[in-house]
Amino acid sequence: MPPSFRAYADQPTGPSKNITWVALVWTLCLSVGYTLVGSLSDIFGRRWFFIGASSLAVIGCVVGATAQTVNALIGANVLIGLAASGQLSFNYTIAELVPVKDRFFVLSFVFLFAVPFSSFGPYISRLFIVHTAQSWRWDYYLSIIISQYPRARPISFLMLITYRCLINCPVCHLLPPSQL
Amino acid sequence: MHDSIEKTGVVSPVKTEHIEHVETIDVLHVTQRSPYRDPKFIGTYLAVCLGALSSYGSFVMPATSLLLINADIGKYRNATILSSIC
Repeated sequence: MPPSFRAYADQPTGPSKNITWVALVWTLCLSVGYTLVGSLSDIFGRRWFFIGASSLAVIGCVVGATAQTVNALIGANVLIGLAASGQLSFNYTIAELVPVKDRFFVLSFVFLFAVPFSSFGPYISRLFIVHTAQSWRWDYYLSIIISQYPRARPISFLMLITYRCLINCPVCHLLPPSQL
Repeated sequence: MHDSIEKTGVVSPVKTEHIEHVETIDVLHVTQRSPYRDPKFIGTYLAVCLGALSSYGSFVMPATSLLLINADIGKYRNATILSSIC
C-alpha cells in the first residue's frame, strides 16, 4: 500500500472524535473575546464592536448551516464564540444607558427575553431535527433570522456610542456635549 | 431632579455626574436620565435582546444535539470508497 493510501486509511471511519470541540471552542473563543471586547471597546467605542459581533455571528451561522464536516462546524463555532463575546456583553452596555436603580429590571428582562433559547433550546433543537427536512441546520437558520435586526439596527441608527458617551474615551471627550 | 423627571416624563438635557477620582472608580459618568421613551434606546434595547437571544440560540441548540449532528455529518465521507479500494 502506498504511503498516501496509508494516510487516508488512518482517517477515522466512525463518528468524528473532534465533535466535543464544537462546544469547547465556543467557550474558548468566548473567554478570549470577552477580554478583548471589554477593554478595546472602552477605548475605541462600542458601536463598531457590536456591529462586527453581529456580522460575525451571521457569518458563523452561515458556515455552520452549510457545514458538511465536523471540522467546518468547529470553525463556525470559532466565529460564533467570538461574536458571542460582543452579543453577550449587554451587562455593561445596557447598564450604562439606564439609571443605576433600574439596572436590575433592565438586565433581568434581557435574560427573560433569552429564555426561549437558553432554557428551551434543547427541546426546540429536537423539534427541528424531528420535524424538518434540514434537521439541525435549522438551529443556525433561526439564529441567522434573529441576527438580522441586531446587525442592521446599529448601522442605521448609530446607537450605542452616539447615544451617550459614558465611557472613558479620549476621542469622545473632545467632542462638544451636543454630540455625546 | 430625578423625581421630577419621573413624574413629568420629560427628558431633560443630558446631566451627568462626573466622578473625578478615576484611579479608584472606573465609572466616570452615572446617568440620572430616564431613557425609556427614547426611540433610540428602545431600538438599542431590542437589538441587544435579540442579539443575546440569537447568541444563546446559535450555541445552545446545536451543542445539546451534538450526538445527532455527529451521526449526520461526523462520518468520514469517503469511507465506502476507501473500503472498496483497500
